[in-house]
Amino acid sequence: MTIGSGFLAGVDGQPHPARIDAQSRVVPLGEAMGFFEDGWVRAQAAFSVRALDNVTSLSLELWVPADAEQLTITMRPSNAPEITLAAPAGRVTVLQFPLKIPPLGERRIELTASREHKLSDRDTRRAAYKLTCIGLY
Amino acid sequence: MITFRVRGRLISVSCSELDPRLTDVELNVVLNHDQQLEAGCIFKLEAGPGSCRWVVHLPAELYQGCARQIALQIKSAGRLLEMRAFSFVGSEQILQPIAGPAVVDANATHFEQKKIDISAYGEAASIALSIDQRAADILFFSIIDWHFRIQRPQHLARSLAEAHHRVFYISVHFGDYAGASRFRIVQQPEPRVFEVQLLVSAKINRIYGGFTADHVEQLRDAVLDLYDTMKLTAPIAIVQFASWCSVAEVLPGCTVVYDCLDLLSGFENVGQQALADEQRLIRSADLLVTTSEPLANRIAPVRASALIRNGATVEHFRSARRKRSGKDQPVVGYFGAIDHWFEASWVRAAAEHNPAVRFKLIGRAEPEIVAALDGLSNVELAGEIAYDKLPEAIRDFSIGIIPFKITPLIECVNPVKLYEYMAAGLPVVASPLPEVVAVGDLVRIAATAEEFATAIEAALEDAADAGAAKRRARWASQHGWSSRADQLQSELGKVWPKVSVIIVAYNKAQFTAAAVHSVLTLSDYENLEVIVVDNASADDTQSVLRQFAEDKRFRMIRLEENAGFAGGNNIGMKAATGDVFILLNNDTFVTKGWVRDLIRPLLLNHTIGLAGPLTNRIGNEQQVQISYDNMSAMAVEARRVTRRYSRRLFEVRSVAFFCVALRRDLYENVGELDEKYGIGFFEDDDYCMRAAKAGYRSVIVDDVFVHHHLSASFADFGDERRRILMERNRKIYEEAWGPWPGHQYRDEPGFGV
Repeated sequence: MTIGSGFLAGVDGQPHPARIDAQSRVVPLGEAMGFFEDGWVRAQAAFSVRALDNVTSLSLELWVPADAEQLTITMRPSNAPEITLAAPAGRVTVLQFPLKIPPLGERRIELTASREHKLSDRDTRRAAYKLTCIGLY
Repeated sequence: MITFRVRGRLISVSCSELDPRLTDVELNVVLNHDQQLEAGCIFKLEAGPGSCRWVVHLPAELYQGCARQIALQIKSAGRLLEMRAFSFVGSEQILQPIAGPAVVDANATHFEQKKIDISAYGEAASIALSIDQRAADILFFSIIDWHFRIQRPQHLARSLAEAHHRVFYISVHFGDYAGASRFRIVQQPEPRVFEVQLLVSAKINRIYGGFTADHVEQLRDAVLDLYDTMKLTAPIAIVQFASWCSVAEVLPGCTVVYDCLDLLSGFENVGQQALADEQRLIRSADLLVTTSEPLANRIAPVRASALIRNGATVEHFRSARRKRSGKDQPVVGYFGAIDHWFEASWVRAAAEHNPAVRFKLIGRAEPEIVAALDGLSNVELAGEIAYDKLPEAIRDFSIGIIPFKITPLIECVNPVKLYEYMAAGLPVVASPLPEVVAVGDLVRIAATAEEFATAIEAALEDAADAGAAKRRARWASQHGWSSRADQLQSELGKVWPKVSVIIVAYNKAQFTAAAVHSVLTLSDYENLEVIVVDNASADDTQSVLRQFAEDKRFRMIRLEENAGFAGGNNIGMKAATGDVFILLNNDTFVTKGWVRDLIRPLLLNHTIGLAGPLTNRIGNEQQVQISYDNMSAMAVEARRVTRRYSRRLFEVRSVAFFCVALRRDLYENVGELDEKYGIGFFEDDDYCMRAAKAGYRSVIVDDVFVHHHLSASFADFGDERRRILMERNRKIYEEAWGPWPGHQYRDEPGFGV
């Protein structure tokens, strides 16, 4: 399922090319925040989904720019405790979080990264990591 | 080009743009730069030319919250074609087989997910749910509705309810399914008895022709809704019309009783499908009950049955007793169906022979019977009279008659009315039905019209004999329905033997605790013991398992040295007191009702010696395609898979011993597991071959699912040590049994990887 223009509209207001994996058991809801169109994500980001079936995990495929330290990402779903995982810097990483959503359940999911940087002198946007896929299974 | 996706505990990998001439393309998965993932976790899928696809099971060790490097290497003839690497970080909470209430309580999950409004299931549904149960739940899959003529089904149901069972009496008429609840409790006719209407979208006019496959599926949905919503425990399905069997047997862990009321083939309105269903049910029921000796004898060449005859509600008919005097107008009475088996010509002849005697026939009469009795002023066809009014309606009877044509159907009948006439103290004149003849001189038997008329005259003379009336009533009181219910409960008590579940554990305390917890909470099996053999674990297995110490079903044997898989199981089997053993790995999680469904084939067919379930991860025909991320989802998905294969067995050369059931007699004949296989691997293949040599078959029970984490205890071994152990044991096996055929999956959609 390609994320439509109504979903993951970034802070710049543009549609986002990242995809929710086609086998995910969700439909996106409402507005997302913190996602740029080319996949970069700010330290504070959030989106909402409605589950079509039992969802038990959230996978994020992402790339963290090279840095001295790993990047921690905290996933905080509405009505559930937060969970933090650390992604090594300079690598493609898959983070897999537990996430329980019953069929037809709706959740707002907040993603908080431990830091963000200006992307470059030319690209002054601030972002924490580059997201390639979101999977909810 | 390599692409991949991590989906739950699986990585899907595909590689495209390959040289189509390459035929030996393999995926190699390397963890943390030097640790090769075992081949058993990598499964190749079909793909088009120039591309390859695989599925990789992620090992549990990746879920420790820290980053692990995963390299996907595509190789051909050892040559690296392409590679892609990424880091993986899995939360430990993804692996949570340890049960919280929602994880193991499938019913709670059901309610949570569906947010059920219990009133949608009928006004009495909340009463049914609130009943404090003391005995197993019973479902009557009967042949008549509750308020049709009151016969054995209702009497047995009422008596079992009096014995503290909660009884759900399934109607033979169905309601319309409107997308919400799939059943409705339409009434509560007796304390603890609930009449249930199943709701379906198919049109099912009558059950007597049997059900189509679509009917069965919809009816299964309905009874599973009943099972979940009413939180049935250890359910017992009493099937009184054979076609219900396909519906009843889908209930997990259900004891199916075929209460064979009559010779089914003797009815004109029964279809071929129903007859075929009966043949299957006679063989597959957990308990076969017949109502008469001739019926039992007819079925005996196929299977022995428990004989539980009909009976009387003695109290109900006591009010029909009265002192009869010679001055009363003699009344020859009958109640019940007046159908094609009714000897109308005998009644006509007797009525013509005795014009001063009134013949009162109660019950719905078929038109040809009405015609045959036409024109007789001393014959009254009183029509159907409700059961509660029957004692009053028969108070004027002087005697009761059973004038039946002796057909194969009638030959097998044990007439309920015999007990009811006797309970009312009435002399009885009957055709020579074997079951009536067996009563002896308390009844008069007539084989012809002349004998019938003569016997009626003699019986009328007896009618005023108060002593004889008391003897008849005393006889009836010995055959009450409550005694029949007691008999049935006694027979049910013999169906399921004591089962010993033996779990050999080596470290991985949390896995073991989850496995034990699942067995103790989900087995729903009364006569059970769980023995954990701790193979000298170095972790906190002992202290973690102490939580089960107060459960009388639980025992633990602590070994000072690791005796290996075979040695540990042998110690467990020596200590076991059951008649059936189930060897269960400590990295498993069972599903509700699994014990009965798994051991059933061993009890029904003594040529079957070893039985294993379906599972998510194993290298043989037991593996099904299934996906879930926790044990709650597993329970739901497992049922979705297994309900397709209700009562199906799949015979194999060997079953994997991550979970296997065997009878004690096989263990005694074949002996212990061979301990020369040491820590593990191939002892199960070896044991199956030894069992086969002794004449026992191995089967997969396709309607049981047990989750298997796979190789939890071996995970710490390291790949190389494990490979060496496998190679060594394979040699031992092949020296005994020839070449090992290798891992084989089932060539059927939904199976394999």
